[in-house]
Amino acid sequence: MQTPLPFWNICRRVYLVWAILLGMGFAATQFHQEANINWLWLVISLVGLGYMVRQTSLPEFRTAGLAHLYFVGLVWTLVIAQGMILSVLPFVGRTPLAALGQYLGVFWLFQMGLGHWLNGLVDPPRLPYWITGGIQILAGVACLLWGLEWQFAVAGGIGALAMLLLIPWH
Amino acid sequence: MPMTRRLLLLSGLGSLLNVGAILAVDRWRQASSVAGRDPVEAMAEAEVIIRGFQYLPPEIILKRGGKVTFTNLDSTPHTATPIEGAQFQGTGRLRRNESKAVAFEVAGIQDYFCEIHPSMVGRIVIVD
Repeated sequence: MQTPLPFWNICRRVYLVWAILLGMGFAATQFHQEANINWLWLVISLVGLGYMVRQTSLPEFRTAGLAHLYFVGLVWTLVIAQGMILSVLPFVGRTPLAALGQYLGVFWLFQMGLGHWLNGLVDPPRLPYWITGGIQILAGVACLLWGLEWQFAVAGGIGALAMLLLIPWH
Repeated sequence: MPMTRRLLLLSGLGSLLNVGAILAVDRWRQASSVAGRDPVEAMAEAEVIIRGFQYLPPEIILKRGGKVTFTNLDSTPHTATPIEGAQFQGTGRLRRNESKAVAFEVAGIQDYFCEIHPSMVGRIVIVD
């Protein structure tokens, strides 16, 4: 007899952990926009990616035929690593990239949108990821046009919401 | 194309597109703020608001010996620091809702920037 699949499977646990981490990280950034906030983000990235790696090395993962989720890990490692490099570069010297420094909340909304879109490519069904990615990109455009002061709070709220929406949708 | 290479390519292109789009909007915002500005007379006192990572107004014409009060309304700290060659005392770090009045005693163009966010620049033109 087949046992019913648990609701809190590997993917949903990872979505929940990332929703909490994003909400906490961007809320802290909104109210503490200092250079040393990057240390918090380093810890958040390591915890989030570490949790993903831990989950994907569980026997439950191997037996469930979820090996394609290796690419999900790769997508997020690439998107986060590229995003962190591009977030630091504006503060190195006075280059044309310096202008990016005032839009980092928007930048991360777009970067998270990109991550969701690429995630959809490797982990079907794609539609839920494309909707959550689209929500984040629209929120980034809205911040860019009207609400730059609150860009990190929006990134935290919308980023966490996008992850939470994937729990019932995917 | 193998999936790993495909993901490398797509994520790299996506990140570059992200940066390019934001920098293009920034240039457009700066161009439109310059184009929409009214000509102003030299003032004895003026106020510069720092909001949304911008000095507002970004350029002021001030009489020699005049004062400018810088007020930071952003949640992040900012400075108004003289760019090399400018002759005035910088504000130092201004936290949210902090203000500082700065006197300008030397005629000429006095450019300044934010030490924390170097892309933020402003200009005070001092006239006799």
